[in-house]
Amino acid sequence: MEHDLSPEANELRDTVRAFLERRSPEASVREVIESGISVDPEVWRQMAGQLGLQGLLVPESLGGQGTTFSEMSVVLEELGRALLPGPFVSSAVLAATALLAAGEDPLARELLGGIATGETVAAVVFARGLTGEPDESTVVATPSDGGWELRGRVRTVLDGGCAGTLLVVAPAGEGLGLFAAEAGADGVEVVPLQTLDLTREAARVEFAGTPARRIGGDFTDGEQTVLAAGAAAMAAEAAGATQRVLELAVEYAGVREQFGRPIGSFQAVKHLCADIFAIAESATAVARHAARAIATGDGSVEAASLAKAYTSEKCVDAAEMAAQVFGGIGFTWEHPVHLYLRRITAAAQYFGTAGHHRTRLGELIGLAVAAV
Amino acid sequence: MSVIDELRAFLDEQLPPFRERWGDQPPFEGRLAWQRTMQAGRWVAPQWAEEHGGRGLDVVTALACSALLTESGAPATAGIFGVANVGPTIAQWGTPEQREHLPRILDGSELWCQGFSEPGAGSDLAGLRTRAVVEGDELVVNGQKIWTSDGMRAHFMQLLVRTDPEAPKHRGISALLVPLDTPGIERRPIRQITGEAEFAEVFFTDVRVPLRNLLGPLHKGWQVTMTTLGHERSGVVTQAAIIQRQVEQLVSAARAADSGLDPLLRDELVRRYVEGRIIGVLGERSLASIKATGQPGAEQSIIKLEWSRLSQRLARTRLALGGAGAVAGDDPGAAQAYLRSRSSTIAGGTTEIMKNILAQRVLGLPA
Repeated sequence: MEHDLSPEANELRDTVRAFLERRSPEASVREVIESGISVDPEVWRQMAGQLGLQGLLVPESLGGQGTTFSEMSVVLEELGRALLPGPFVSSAVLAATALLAAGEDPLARELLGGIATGETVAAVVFARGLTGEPDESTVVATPSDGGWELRGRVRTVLDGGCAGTLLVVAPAGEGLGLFAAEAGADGVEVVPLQTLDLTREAARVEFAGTPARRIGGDFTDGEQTVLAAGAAAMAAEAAGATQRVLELAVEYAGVREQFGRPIGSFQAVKHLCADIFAIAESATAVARHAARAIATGDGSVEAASLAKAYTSEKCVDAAEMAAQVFGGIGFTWEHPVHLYLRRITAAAQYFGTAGHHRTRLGELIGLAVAAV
Repeated sequence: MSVIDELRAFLDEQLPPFRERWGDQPPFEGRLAWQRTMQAGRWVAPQWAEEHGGRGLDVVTALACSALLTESGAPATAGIFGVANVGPTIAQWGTPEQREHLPRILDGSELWCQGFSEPGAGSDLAGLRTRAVVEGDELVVNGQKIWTSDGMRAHFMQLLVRTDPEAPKHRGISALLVPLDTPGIERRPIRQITGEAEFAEVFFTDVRVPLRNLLGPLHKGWQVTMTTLGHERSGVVTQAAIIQRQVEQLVSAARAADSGLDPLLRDELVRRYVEGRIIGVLGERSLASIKATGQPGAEQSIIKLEWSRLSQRLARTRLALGGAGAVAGDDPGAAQAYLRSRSSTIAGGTTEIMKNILAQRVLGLPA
């Protein structure tokens, strides 16, 4: 029982952990990675059908669970912990948040229903904010035949290779719009990228006059909401992953012997473990704080930036320290620590680096930079 | 009226005249005057039993009182070692006669210190060698203590002595309550790196202490002292709130400087802000655990660890924000605070010892 979570969230965490330990142990994760499929379809179906996870944020009236981001965050910790491969964050968190932020729209309702059942797999194509590169996206939407069409390319789309529906954030005349396009439609080119994180694929996507349907009105505020959700989701996953590397490192330090004693009896190793522990607990606390802020709508942008500023730097430190505890064995392909290092390091990059979020926090707390 | 409203009304009435008299950075005499004022309203340790001068509040309400005090910027308690450390130990282990100290600890008429560290017993506190030998109904003490906080101004000391040199080191220690005007005690101030003297060396030569001043059973001084440390663990919630407030004060000061900050310096300050907020959310997590179980969770050990590191970094950032004027100027405050902060990873258990304890007790790594 963790006292900063509701009884329901505690129960959800136990259920998801037990499910993933049974259905997606490390060996299964490795099978998904080696086979090049981005998700185990049976696990995906059961997550939606038995546990309702893809529909956590979807209202009950649309077939979802109608829970808050606090419950979602606990699930994300577990996915990070279990290294679950697949488009869960893209579809169940980012796409669902985008559709809910876009406002009342029949197409949004339909897509949300599909996301909740797991049949619709959606990815969000960001105009900016995922990688922070100046030329992240050149996509623009223009009216065409009573609908819209998309032109331009996006350098990085998370889960762009396995999503059936692309939710594209793009300038549309004045302001920003959210558009739905089929990934298999004419004029969509999806080029897979080589990703550091083997459990989360990404693609470059090019639109050449792709037909799209607009969802809702101006998406300027919606974009901020989704980016905050993305930052908080990465923080929660990194926190869960860090908790697991801590457990692995402590377990190993207790049994691995050198100089006739367990290496965990040496202060140098103890101190590494203590530092990883401090980071794992801090990351968990701050990720849950961000999730509560998103759930209540109170200070969500600041809280998400705080969580990402911390986890993007410190969880990477923790994963590196854990790798150090493992010594040579941690440098082998067979050992899981590199899978965590990959996931945590990649998550640190998406939705804003630590430096990006510190700059943002500096602005939010009113610290001006001197004019040069 | 709720307890919190009562405290708020008390502070609204008492703080403005106090500030008018003593300013924002009151000297020790000012803080002692404030402690007397506070205790007139029984607010110094409201979680203590009423018969000892408290209000018998539950831990959660008492923490809410602390939070309000932190928020109001009220001065820190002058006789803090008696109130925070010695008093709770006496309350748990003391005889009725010994408990008569408690109201006097709260109103500041008795100042206490703790005679723990020795020249040869710093991190290895249980290796202490100050001896006490039973002679009739007295204990005769010989030895030396060092780094005794408030040692020069205190009236009494909770003294750890070795009473059984044959026993394993944790089992041969006793705790004594010693009036510091007892013949054979000599005190000398330790001039520290700031130039001030907040600690003392205390020498004991054939000091005769009545056996009735033994706190808890003979040879159980280690357990007596350690169980109290357990009681004080909820204090991390207040500690977290205080350091977060210190960070916010530095941010406010930097914001007020209208010329804007060097980008690297701003990043350094935002790092402190992030670290302060992290301790804040860990404090909230502790509070949730205390509300549910009466005890903080494992995060309390992290708050202590991170607090010690952040208070140093914060002092260094404050110095950096002061620029050249902070190292050569009219106000030595930032420089003094920087030097003083060097003790925060040493006093009360070094960072390294805290990590060892955390690794062994919380993570279960072998000794």
